[in-house]
Formats: sequence, C-alpha cells, structure tokens
Amino acid sequence: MSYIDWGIVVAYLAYVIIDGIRMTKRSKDVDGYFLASRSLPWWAVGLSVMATQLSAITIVGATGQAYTDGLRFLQFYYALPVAMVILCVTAVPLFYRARVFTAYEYLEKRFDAKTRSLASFCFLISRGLGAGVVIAAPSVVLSIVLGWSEVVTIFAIGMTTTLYTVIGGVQAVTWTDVKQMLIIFFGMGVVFYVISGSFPEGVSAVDGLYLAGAVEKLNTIEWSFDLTEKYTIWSGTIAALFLFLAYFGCDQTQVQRFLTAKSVSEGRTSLLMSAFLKIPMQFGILLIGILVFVFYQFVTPPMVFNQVENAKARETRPAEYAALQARFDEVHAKRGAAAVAFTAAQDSGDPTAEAAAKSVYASANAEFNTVRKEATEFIKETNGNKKFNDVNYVFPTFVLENMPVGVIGLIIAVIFAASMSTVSAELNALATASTIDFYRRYFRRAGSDAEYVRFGRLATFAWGLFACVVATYATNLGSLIEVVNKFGSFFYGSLLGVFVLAFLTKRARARGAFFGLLIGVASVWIASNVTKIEFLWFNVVGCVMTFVSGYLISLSVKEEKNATNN
Amino acid sequence: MGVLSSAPGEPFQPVNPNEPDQTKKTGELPDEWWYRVYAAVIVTTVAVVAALWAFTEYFS
Repeated sequence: MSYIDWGIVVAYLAYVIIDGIRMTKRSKDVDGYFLASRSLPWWAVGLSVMATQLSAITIVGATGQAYTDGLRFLQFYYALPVAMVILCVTAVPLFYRARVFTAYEYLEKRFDAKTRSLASFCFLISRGLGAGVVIAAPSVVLSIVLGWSEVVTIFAIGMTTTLYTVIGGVQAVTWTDVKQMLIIFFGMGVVFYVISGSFPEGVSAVDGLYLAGAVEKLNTIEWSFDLTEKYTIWSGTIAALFLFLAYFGCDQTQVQRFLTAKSVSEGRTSLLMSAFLKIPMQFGILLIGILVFVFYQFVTPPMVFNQVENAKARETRPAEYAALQARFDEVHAKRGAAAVAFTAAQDSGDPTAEAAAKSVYASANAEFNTVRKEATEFIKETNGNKKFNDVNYVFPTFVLENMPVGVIGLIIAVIFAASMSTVSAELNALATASTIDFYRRYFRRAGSDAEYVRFGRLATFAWGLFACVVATYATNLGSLIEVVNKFGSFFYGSLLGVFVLAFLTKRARARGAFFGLLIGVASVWIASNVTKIEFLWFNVVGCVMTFVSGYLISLSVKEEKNATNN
Repeated sequence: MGVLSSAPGEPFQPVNPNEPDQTKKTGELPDEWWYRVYAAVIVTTVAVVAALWAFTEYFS
C-alpha cells in the first residue's frame, strides 16, 4: 500500500476514535450510557441499524460469495422487509412502552427471572461468539496487506473498537455508525464505478452482466424446495423470516438500536428505513462480486486467493503445483477467449452464433471451475487444512492487486468501518445485558448510576477481549458470513419462540417458557447433528419447538403466580 | 423506571396511574397511517423481487 492509502486508513481510524470519545460527556448516567436517554432521531437509528447488520463480513464474504456462487445469496434478504413490518406492529411498541433496557428484561415482566436470565445467557453466548467472527473478517484483509499475523490484526481492530465503545457508550456507537455507514456507501460506490470501467475495450459493464448471466451467476431466485439447499426462495422467505424476526426483535444488539429512538414512531421508522434499503444495498454489494468475476475473465486471477496457503502448498509440492498452475493458466486463457467470442457474437446480432458462443463459454467456465476445485483440494491435502476456503480472500486480493492508489485505502477504511460499526454495537449490547440482566438483577439491585456505568464499561472491555480471543479461532471456518449466521441460528429460533409465547398467547406460563426455550435449543442441536438441513431452517425448528413445547407445558401448569417486577 | 405489570399476553401499562405514558408526549402517528406505510413496504418488496427476477431472466 502507498503512503496515500495508509494516510486514508490512519485518518479514518483517528477520526472514529476521537469522534467516539467525544460522546463521553453524554454518557454519565445509566440511561444515557445504554439508551442515549431515548433521544436519537429515526435517521440516525436507522443508519445504525443498517451499519450494525452490515459488517465487514458482508463486504468481504458476500462479494467473495457472489464471485464463486453468483447472486443466489440475495434471496436470504427477501423476507427482511416483512420481518420489519411484523416487528413494527409487535416488538417495537411493546419493548418501548415497557421502558426496558434489554429485550430479556421484558421476559421477567411477562414470565419470571429464570426465563429472562436463560434468554439473556443464550444471547450472551451466541453474540459473544458472533462478535469474534465479525472481528475475524477484516483481520483477514489486514493480514494480507501488512503481512502481520492474524492475531495481531485481530487485537488491533477489536481493542480499537472496544476503546471508543467503553468510553462513549451507545451515543458513540450510534453516531460513529452514522458516519461509518456514509463512508461505506461512498466507498462501495467508488469501487463499483472503478471496476465498471476496468474491462477491456469492447466489453462494457452490460456485456459483463451477459457473461455472468450465461454461467448462471445472476440467478436471484432459486425455486427448488430442498431443505439441504442453502439459498432458495423458500429458505429466503420462510426460514430467513424467522432469522430476521429473531435478529431484529430478540437480539439485544438490534433491539437496543430502536430503544434509543425518541419515540415509538421514530423507532418504527428506523426499522422501515432498513426494510426499504436493505435489498437494493445488498444487491449492489453482490453485484460488485459479480463485476470482480467478470474482471477476472480477462485478467488471470490467482489460482487460490489465500496467498499464505498458496505459498505453503507451492513450497511443499513444487512440481505438482507447477503442473496444476499450468493447467489453470490454460483453462483461464481458453475461458477468456470464449468470453470475448461470446461478447462479439452478441454484438453481431446472430442468434445462432450467439447460442453457440454461449455454449462454448459456459463449457470453458465449467472446465475452469473444475481446475480451481482441484487446486482447492490440492491445498487442503497438501497443507492438511480440511476446512480451507478462500472465499473471504477474493475481494481483498482483487482490491490490493487491481485498484488504483487512494481507492485501496478507501476500501480498507470501508472494511474497518463495517467491522467496527457492528462490533461496537455488539459489545455495547453485550455489556448492557451483562449489567442490566445479571449485575443489577442479582448482585447490586440498588446501585447508583455511576456504579452501573462503571460496570458497563468493564463489561464492554471484557467482552471486547473475549471477542478477540474467539476471532483468533474463527479465521479458518470457511465463509465467515455463514459462520456468523450459523452461530446465531443455534439460539435465535428458540429465543424467538419465547417471545412469540410472550406476545401472542395469554395461556403461556413461566415454566412453559423456560423449559420450552431449553427444548428449543436442544432440538436445534439435535437437528444440526442428525439431519442435513441447512442452518437457516434451524431458526424455524427452534421457534416452533420452543413455542409448541412451551405452550403444552403451560397447559399442564394449573396455577402460577404472575411475575412481578422487582 | 416505573413499576410495570399486566395480565399475561396483554400489553404492559404503567402500574402507577400518576406516571404518564412517555409516548403520549411525543405525538405518535395514528395506526391508520402506519397501516398504509406497512402496505407500501410489502408492495415495494414484491416489486423489487419481481424486478430482480426480470433482471435474471433478461441477462440469462
């Protein structure tokens, strides 16, 4: 990286830290530190909701996934607007008017302390692990750029974010989120513009889309109903609906966003902002991955994008590696020629020639994919790394090798921004749940505001450290965007089931909710080990099992004292 | 924070009648307005997914 790129990255980091620390004066009391005294405007909360969901995993993982798998991942987001509407009707007014700090606090008001604590504990475990995965993604990028070990980069990112979150609380989280989101929009727009103009003469961006379409990279709807298939219209609209209801309605990371809004209306508007913008924004990010795919039709890509693993395999078995590389270069050249021929055939306007050229191009692409798969298997076998997957390295490698000076720094800043905006919200939510649901509930019921804020700061720091340690183990877990969703899916459905019991039934009782939650989590664990269904469906399994078992157990409870607020 | 309680399944209301509902101060928008917004969100989503499907078909 050039000095200009370094300057951009350093300027960004310095600005974010200083801006976050400036918020200290507004975070003296517990209401200010955890809920911004319920004073934030809808647009700031809305951008914070989006920034919290959009992590570096979205930038790095989704673009890499589009490169390898096309736009199919977009289906995952189709249910998001529907989930937002449902939450605007149910969770937003209920939580807001209950004047709670955490979503789980509501469960004690509705059921009992035991159910609240169990739900909060599930959140702490899943989100604590999730925060680690979120930190791991940009560390991958930095480890390539700097040649540092991933452990060093993980702690650099994680502890920087922890610093301003500890000091500034939710005010710092939200207002830095706003600025980080604007940087992300700007940066991704610049990348889109630069890649679109980087194809060879005679190949326009539209031609590139035809190339991607010819090899089924632009499929935005997959109709097959197969529970073992990861992304279909059904998993995107049914299973993902459960995931989004759980994530935005039961996960403190997001619930805390709309609890900081000035009113119920502003809280609702902030969620609906995401409902309108999320699918187009995600489409834009995936389209960048598609354009990277098109770019590499004409420029030879690395056989394997993870250069560290690549070098290791090359040194261990040089002759076999060289043979594989030669075949790779050959199939790439063949595919490139077929791509040019297909574009020329399209321009000729002859449908027969176009169909023939398309067939040749698709066949060359399949051959290319076969060799790339062989290369991946070669790396796995040679390096003894069975989980090897280079999806997360595609976009960073592309940026570093092909983007102009200035844009590289901007993209690194974007990846930092995306990661920090998510991690800061997660750390803040973890600290809030630790402080309100455990420390205040069980240890210091009549503490002062200063004491709770002090504990909240300590908890933020501890969770930041925990997330960094988790991140050191998370970098080799395949596509990181899937890993973080898998972590969540183990608990999300069951948490949602408890809240559905609370919101929709009058008959549900504390014992039913508590044991229903345990049964739901156990059911997901069994489903993940016994069946081959994809992780998105775990949310449905957890929710349905928790709700049904919780309701049935409640029916068997004759008399139970209503929970009271202590 | 006010003390809160309610029957299971019902929205929570402040127990203390002297404690005003904070949301009334802020001039919340009426439900009818929100129903129209929700309908707009759903219609827009369907239109966006249909446009994406058309995009796929066009370039395939």
